[in-house]
Amino acid sequence: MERQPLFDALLAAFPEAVADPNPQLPEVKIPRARFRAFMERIHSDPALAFDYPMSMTAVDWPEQNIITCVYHLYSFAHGHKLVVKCDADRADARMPTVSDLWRGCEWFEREVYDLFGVVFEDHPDMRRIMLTDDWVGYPLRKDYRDSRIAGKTY
Amino acid sequence: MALSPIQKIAGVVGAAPGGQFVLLNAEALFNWSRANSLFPLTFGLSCCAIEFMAAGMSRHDMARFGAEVARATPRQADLMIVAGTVTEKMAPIVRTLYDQMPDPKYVISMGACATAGGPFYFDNYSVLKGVDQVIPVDVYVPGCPPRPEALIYGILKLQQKIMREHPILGPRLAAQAAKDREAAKIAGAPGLA
Repeated sequence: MERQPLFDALLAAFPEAVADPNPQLPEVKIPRARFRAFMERIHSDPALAFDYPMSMTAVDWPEQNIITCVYHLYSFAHGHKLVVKCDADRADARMPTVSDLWRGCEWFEREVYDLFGVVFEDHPDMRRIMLTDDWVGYPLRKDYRDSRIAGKTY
Repeated sequence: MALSPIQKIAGVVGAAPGGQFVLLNAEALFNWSRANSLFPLTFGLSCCAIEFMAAGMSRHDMARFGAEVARATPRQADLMIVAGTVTEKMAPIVRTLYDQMPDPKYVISMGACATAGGPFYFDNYSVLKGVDQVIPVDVYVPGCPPRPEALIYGILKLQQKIMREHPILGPRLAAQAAKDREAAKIAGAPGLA
């Protein structure tokens, strides 16, 4: 599906979604309350059929007090891509899991939890994946401080 | 410090006429064979391992210096070439591998990462700032990554270091023996090395 028909289909079903046509990949921002329904829809709708999570990450915005989770999705059936963004509250970072829709997201979500401290609700195995199990803090948050870090901090 | 059995024997042999000559040549033989048959441990932590492999292949051919028998187990290795970035999570594993190696054992820190954290020194939460924080290092090889020539130069430096060791006498007795030889030379006694 081309970019504009893809946006039309998504926004028709989810009017609260905000589409950003400018970036390299088509991008949609969805409020957290509708996030889970949105993901279920684009996963199961045969016209969209996003069956492959290419990657997942997060962005920390301390000034706005949010952590934006970013999902890169791909459809093998249609060959189209979509970026889905959703804000989590930074002080109490919680997101609904999508690991039951895409098994690959199980590890992606553990990675985001490991580095940003976003807890994914109903995740089957919510623990650190790359850092040591006794690690304190979430290193990719901008206010992370560690005495072992040399040089400037952000 | 208590003397080991071999040091006691060395004391008896060294006291005999010409005994120090025997001991010094025996030590030289030990050192020569150790320095020229270093068995590196097969492991690489990042891109330096590619240069390590290249150093072992035919173009650079580490076998010319007797260091080509890369062993797959630390029990058979006596040289650890730390080739790459040591992360906080990898550090205890590197330490365990080092502890599993039999004595005498040597460590070459290959490249900027293993030596001081390299490009990961600043603003980094996960990389150790030098492998010498967990294991003792004999030779540091700079470079990012070092060319195989640089690694081979490091091995040659390590060989020079091994050749100066005193595997039988130990450093304390060796210093005493050197002092004795000096005194004997002044006294004009013949037959001493």
